[in-house]
Amino acid sequence: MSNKNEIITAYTLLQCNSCKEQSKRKFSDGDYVFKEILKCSSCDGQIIITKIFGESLTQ
Amino acid sequence: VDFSNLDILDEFFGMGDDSNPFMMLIWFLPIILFVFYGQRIQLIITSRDIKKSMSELEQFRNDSRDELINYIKHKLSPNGDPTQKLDRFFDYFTIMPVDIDPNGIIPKIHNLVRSREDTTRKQVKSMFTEISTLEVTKVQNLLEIVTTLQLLHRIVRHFFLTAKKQNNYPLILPLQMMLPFIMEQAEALKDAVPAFKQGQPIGDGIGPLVVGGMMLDTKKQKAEFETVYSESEFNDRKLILLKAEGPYATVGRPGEATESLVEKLKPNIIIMIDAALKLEGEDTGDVAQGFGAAIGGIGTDRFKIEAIATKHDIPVFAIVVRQSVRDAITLMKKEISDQAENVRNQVYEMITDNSNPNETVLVIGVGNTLGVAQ
Repeated sequence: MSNKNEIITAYTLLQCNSCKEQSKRKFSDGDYVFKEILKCSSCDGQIIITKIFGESLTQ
Repeated sequence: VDFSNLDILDEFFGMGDDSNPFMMLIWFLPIILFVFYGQRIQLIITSRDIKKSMSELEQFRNDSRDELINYIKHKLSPNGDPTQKLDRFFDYFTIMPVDIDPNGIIPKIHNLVRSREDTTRKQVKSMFTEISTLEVTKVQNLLEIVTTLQLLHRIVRHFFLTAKKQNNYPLILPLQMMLPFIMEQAEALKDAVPAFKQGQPIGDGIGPLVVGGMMLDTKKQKAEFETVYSESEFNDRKLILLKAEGPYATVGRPGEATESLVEKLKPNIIIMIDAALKLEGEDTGDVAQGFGAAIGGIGTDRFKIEAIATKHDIPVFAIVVRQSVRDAITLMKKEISDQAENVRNQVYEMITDNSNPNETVLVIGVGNTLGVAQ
């Protein structure tokens, strides 16, 4: 059974497929894994979503 | 009050004197009561717990129903009020084929499951003038959640009321034993609703996540309905990568797709990646390797894969990521998604160890690919 005080937040992990730079932000509507987001600001490579996952905060 | 002198009490209750009739009555009354009414008393006590669980189940069912109706009304644009139609869907039942003679039962089950899926899809589409495939699959999954919760509530209520009606305590015992498992499943289903509404990957999507990563920058082709494959190369081996079409909320048709790909491309080995239920004491995200077709569901897809592999004498290998029922149908936990790279490496290792250069390997990512493209 789930912990009643557990709050799960969804995060999206982004990664540039060229320089491999990663960033993490909160999940937003329309995100899905392997979605191409935008160009990397440092190397102009393609940034894609590599993971979407839930992390729990127990109160 | 001075209790130091207990002579009066001793005299009244006859402590130490077994022949006192009043004392005998005190001892015999509960024995007689429990002999004749024991089961009824137990039924009353047990009923209280079951009633509590039943109202929780009803609450889960109502909440998920309301969430689905609100989602359709406010996020999508239905033709009119969909409430009545949806309420009819929730009551849909499936009559399983006769199994007295089990010969040939798999095609019958397969036909039944497919016709149910196709009808539900058509009915969902008929509620809208325009709706995307992603939304259709999401609504289909949400419908399945509410229908299952409704069914669980009805079954529990049926057994409970029958036991009460007949004052039959033994009838309530199996229900009492099964209730924690039923409630665990029901709670997992209720918690799955937000992930399906928002299109987030679920724990069961680890197989598609692994194979989807391997399919990046390859040409995707349709293998079957809502199922895609692509061809790639690794260490002089030809790889055929197969998964359900993401980011839709679907498991695709891995059985039929494997049949057609095996006939067409003649792979030498098959590797399947799936989520598997963990046992108590095991950790979520544990990875294990084994043999055989790693695929859940009602059994028709597994049957097809086993049959075609046997026909062509193809060994089937499996890699599973262990998780609970709840983990499998709710937002993918970090512990599970963190295993994607590890599993991918294990797949490549398995390919090298079990095939030779110039051979063909079919890699299947099994599971619901919601929120995972390719």
